[in-house]
Amino acid sequence: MHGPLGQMFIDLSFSGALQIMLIGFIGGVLSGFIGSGGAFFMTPGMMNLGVQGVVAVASNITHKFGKAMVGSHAHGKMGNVDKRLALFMLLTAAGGIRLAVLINSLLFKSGGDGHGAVQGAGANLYISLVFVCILSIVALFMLRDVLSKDGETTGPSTRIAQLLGRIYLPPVIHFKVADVKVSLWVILLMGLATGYLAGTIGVGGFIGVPAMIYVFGVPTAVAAGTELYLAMFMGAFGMLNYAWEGYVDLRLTFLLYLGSLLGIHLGTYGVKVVNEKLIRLATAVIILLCVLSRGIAIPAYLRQLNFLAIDPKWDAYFNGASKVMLFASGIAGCGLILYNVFRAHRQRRQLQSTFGRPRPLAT
Amino acid sequence: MAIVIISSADEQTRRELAVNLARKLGCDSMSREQILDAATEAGIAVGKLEVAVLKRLAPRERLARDKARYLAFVTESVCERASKGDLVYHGRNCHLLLPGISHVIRICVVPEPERRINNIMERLGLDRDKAIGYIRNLDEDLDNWSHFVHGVGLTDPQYFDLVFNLQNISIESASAALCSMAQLSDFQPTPASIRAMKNLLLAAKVRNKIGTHELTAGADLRVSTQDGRVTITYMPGQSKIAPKIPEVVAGIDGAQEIVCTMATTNFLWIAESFDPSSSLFAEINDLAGRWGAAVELLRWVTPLEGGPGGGEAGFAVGSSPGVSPPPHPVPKAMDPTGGIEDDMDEPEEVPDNGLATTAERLIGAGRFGGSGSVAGQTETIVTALKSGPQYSLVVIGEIFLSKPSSVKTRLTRDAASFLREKVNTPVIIGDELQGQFLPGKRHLIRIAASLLCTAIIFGLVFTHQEQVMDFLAGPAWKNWRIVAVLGVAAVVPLVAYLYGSATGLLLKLLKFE
Repeated sequence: MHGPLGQMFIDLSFSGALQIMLIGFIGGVLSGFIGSGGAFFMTPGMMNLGVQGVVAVASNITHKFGKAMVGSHAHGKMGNVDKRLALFMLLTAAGGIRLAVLINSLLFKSGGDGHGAVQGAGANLYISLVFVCILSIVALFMLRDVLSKDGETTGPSTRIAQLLGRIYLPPVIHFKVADVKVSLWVILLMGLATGYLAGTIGVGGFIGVPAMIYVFGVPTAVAAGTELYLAMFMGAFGMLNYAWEGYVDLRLTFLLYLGSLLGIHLGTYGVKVVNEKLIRLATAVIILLCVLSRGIAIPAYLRQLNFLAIDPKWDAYFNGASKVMLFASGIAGCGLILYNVFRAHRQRRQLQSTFGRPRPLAT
Repeated sequence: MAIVIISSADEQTRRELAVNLARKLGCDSMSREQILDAATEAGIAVGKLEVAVLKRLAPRERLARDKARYLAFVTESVCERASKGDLVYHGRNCHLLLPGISHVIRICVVPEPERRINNIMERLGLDRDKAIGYIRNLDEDLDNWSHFVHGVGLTDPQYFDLVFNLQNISIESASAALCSMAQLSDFQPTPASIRAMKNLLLAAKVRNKIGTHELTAGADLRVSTQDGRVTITYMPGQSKIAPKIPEVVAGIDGAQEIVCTMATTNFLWIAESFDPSSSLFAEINDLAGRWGAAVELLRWVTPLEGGPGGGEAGFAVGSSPGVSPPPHPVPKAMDPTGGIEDDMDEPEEVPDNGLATTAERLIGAGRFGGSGSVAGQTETIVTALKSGPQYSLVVIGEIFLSKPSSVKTRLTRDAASFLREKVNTPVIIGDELQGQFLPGKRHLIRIAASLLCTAIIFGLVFTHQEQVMDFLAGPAWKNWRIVAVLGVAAVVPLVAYLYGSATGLLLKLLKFE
């Protein structure tokens, strides 16, 4: 890329393209396996390859639009989508996305202002901090959940759900498919939070799905399907906003698709054949490692913004360590999932008819 | 043998009515509270279940197991007592118990509001406002409990035979009316209803045994029974437990044979007639193999008159939750004796229409998920589907066999669309199965075409990277900003659709679905 384009978008070599595809594949497997997210790996992964934070988020949210479109269509066929609930959440989710785009754009443009700050460092730092804070909370809750006494009976804190369940805030709307009654104000608040996070770091699903399950009381399958349907609109809205600002790198979006749309099918298959506790444990550990990896990159952004006085040579080390850690955790997590998927697939075929014959019983 | 089930949110009201009625009928009354104590003594964590509902905990494997065990315990207790003679049972939402047993009378009692408030004020020492608030919260919790345990709302009228509003009728009069109602032919046991109750009892016993036995207590198994055959479906991850299941189930009264099927999900095949040599059987078997699914068979005796939604209804047997017929809309009109049987021990001869042979073939293939029969209108199927587990797919086979071919096709399509509207499960007609779910030549052509189109778009973008990025964000981009945004909006979903379909179909060919 030449001129101003070169400052914003990376040059894509063959190995760079392969790495983006690999990021997409790992993100797709994780996304299919976990049921939401995937961006928690893809956004920092691209940033580690030198992609500007805002471009990584923009390209990822554009990628999310198409992916959610394909996924929600499949969920819709299974009757797992409450379109009405999704559309109500979208009312404020759009506002949340718009807010996120404005903040990201402002921070991106405020960097590189001639005062020594590197272009995009402010946005990179902001995205990384939100990423680390939100995903640390999500991962620690999941880990606590898995490692609790029996790993099943206790769930995440339900205090908010109980409180909201008891407070009657009219108008209360009944959603037929999800079969829940929820206050409009609670829906709008959750929509705003989901939209803001989707627009900032691309992982609105980490808020949207738990909110639907724990706060609204929506069945898990319907929550996942409805979130994908919502993600389709949020992705579309985010894409339009970022494209309007000129931050979407179509090449990155396409390369992500090459990996993710294959990986997502394998991840989804994994959910059917892998033990649920392993799914939750693997998810929590992978997210925590991704958080750690992003955390390692933060000192470099602080230096670029002159908040930290360290040798600029260290930037490469921070970025390198972050990249190695992210890829190691992603590849290990993805490898673990795929190993279990293929093993279970083979076993399932072998076991299919083992106990097929009826056995007479002594009564 | 009358079984009267009285549901009411107010314990005192329902207890008074139940005791009064039991005295009139000369039988025992039994309460939810009695069963609850027994369940707690048997080690079922009823308290945890209630806390889960109050705190709205997310559904978990352990919670689902506890719920299944609790439900099995209650069902077994009530069935055991009911099989000994008349029974009046009362509880909060007990009308949803014993689904499909036509000789059960299900009553809803609406308590007098003033009396209920006074009862609460007296019992809990609350002032009036707090008592009203308490009742509101309690009703909401009861509704949540009903959704949690039975999957339906507490006050859904279709699950009741009669509603008494105690503002307008006294307990004494309600009891007298119920006493007369219990004598009606509509609520007398029939061979089919007795068989259905035996199936329910056997399923509950098996579920209970599995839940208490150390070898299987931690396993998530699905149980269905029919005429002594127990079908247990288990997940692939539990294949180590599977060989122990017959050992655990052995000795249960009424269990004659056991079928263990490994499955990650289940299909429901609804038909009036089954044929294991048909192409539909082969297709369903193939798809079940690909999806790792167990196939449940539901023989639907379609209405004698009219189309879907019209006509009369009849018997219902089978204990699998999914195929268990609805708790109520099972009128007795098909019963030629009007419900009065001379010889109760004589089993009713029900034409099988290939159900047994198809079940045998599925057992041989390791894909049998249980079977049952139901008669009635399309609504009957809807209720059965809603009260059962979530199916991945419902396949409608041969139905409306007595109709001419064109009428049969139209009615089948109408029934399928009706079911699609009413249940959150994909419903498909047998003829469409191959085209939609099983890979064939058409799929190969689609894969090739999708990949070719994707390659062309990728080729254009990656051989013109500079121009593409210039168009999307370059110096002159501001002049055609709208065109650039629309371009992204058009091309991104197209690529996602083309490439996503190709990869999905490719993995389907490799049986990764």
